[in-house]
Amino acid sequence: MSKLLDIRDLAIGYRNHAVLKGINLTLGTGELTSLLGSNGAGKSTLLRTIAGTLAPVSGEIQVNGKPLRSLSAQSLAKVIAIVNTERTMAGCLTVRELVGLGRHPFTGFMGQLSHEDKERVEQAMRQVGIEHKAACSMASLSDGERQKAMIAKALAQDTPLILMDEPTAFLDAASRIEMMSLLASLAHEQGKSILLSTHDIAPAVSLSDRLWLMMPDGSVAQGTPAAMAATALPSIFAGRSVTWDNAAGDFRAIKH
Amino acid sequence: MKYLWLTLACLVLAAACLLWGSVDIPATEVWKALTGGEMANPRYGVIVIEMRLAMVITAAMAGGALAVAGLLLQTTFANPLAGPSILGISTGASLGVAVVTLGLGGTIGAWGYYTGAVVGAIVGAAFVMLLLLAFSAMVKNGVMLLIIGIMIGYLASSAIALLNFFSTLEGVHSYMVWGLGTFSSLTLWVSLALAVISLILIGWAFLMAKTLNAMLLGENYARSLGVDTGKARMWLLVISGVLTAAVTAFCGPIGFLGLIVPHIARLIMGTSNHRSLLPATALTGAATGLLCAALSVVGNSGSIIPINAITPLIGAPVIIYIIIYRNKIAYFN
Repeated sequence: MSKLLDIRDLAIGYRNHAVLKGINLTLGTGELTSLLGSNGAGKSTLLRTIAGTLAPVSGEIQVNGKPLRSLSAQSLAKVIAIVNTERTMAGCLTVRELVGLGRHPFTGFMGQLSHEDKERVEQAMRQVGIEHKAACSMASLSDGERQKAMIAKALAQDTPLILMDEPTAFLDAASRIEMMSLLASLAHEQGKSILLSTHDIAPAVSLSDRLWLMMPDGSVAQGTPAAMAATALPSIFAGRSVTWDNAAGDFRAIKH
Repeated sequence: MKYLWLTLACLVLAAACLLWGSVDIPATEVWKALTGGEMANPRYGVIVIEMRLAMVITAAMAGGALAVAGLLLQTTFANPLAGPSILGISTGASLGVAVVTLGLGGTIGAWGYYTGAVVGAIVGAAFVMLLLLAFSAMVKNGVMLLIIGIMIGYLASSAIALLNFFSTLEGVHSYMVWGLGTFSSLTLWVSLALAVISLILIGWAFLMAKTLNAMLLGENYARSLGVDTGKARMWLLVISGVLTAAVTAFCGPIGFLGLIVPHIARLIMGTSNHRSLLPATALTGAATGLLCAALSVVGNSGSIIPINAITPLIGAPVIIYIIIYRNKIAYFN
């Protein structure tokens, strides 16, 4: 598996104040990687640093062998697409228009979509199964559908890497599992590298190719779910009233 | 098709403004005045061209300019209740004009006055915009930023009140009349100057439609699509600031239009896509400006109602309607 992302001795934080130090991670092509950890462990900070919206305090992130810092905003947009749960003002756009915004880095001065751009948009909507809502306004969609439209936008951007900050946050239990398996199939079938942060431990463990774990001591561990379940995973909530249940593949309450 | 209806509305309202006024002029004479034909009364020519046509151009351009400024602010700050008057930009421009008119008094001629007022308004608006830009880096919450804008507006108002206190009676009076807002005090040439400024800036805003669309997704998404959001935000504030300043210098601080017209345009067009929304906003703004101008001309009495007495009649109900029905209005969600 070739390395798409190579993170070396990275320190992340805000305004030169490092929250986490000494991070060394790699991300392979065509893999679904889940970033797990407790609230406040620094998952979003790490994702924002990889997305280039937050400067690293020190260390280096390489994308396809090139330092992230050397990329202009335009070239970065062709390498990394993001999906988050921020509020947008896009309610009055149709799903097709929204997914079309993913073609932004490729379109000309006025943002008109070419024939190829339009085909890519239709294809992206089919890949996530939202094509039946193409002409509907974003405001008319359910949370799950809206999230699918945002993922289609990221697919239309044609980047090797997609970063997602809690893409399952507002979804019901069934939609969360459906979303994770959709992401796994996109990674395996389309060769996309997908890195997402989530609190849904069980689906992440069963469907991800790799896990990145934010440990209570401030380190970040990585490995396959099976390897992590045997080592680091049980201790990500150390000191809390939960215990790892290997048979269930999830945490459960400590019985008193 | 919707553009056609909006254009038609502008033409009908413009025709109403040209035909209706304190002096009864037959439609055929108005037509002759506009086309340079032989008129029954040479005074008609002056009234139709210098007064009514100048008012039509001023109203359409001021309406379009303020509406586009409002749309740019709403998208830039990701806040549907942003607008040049709410964010204190109009008041900043007014302060600039107050410094020029109250400070220099009647010592400058008409062109000197307009140049001074435009420069003063741009400096005042720019000052408020810089403050807003600085605060928007610190305050991410849109409602909080609006409140800061309102506070900046109050600060500017207090400076204006002080200037008024130390000014002459004539100065205070002329500033007060200007503050009521009018579309009918400009000569034809000055109204054409406003038209040139407005059309250039509206055209420039239209060229930023691609960036504006990306900004609908919020700062982080826009950046991930390759938009230099800092630079984009600065240029959008420059365009909306100069549009507001120009209109304020020529017509006074006109309230509400910049806030409500983008909403009306979104409801008409059913989209937030700026490639179609921005031209529609400019046309709707022009139509709304012309409607206010038509309403300001009171029958045969010869007097003209201040524009700021009319805009709240249209603006306040629209805003209240939008707030009450916001759950059913797509672009809020």
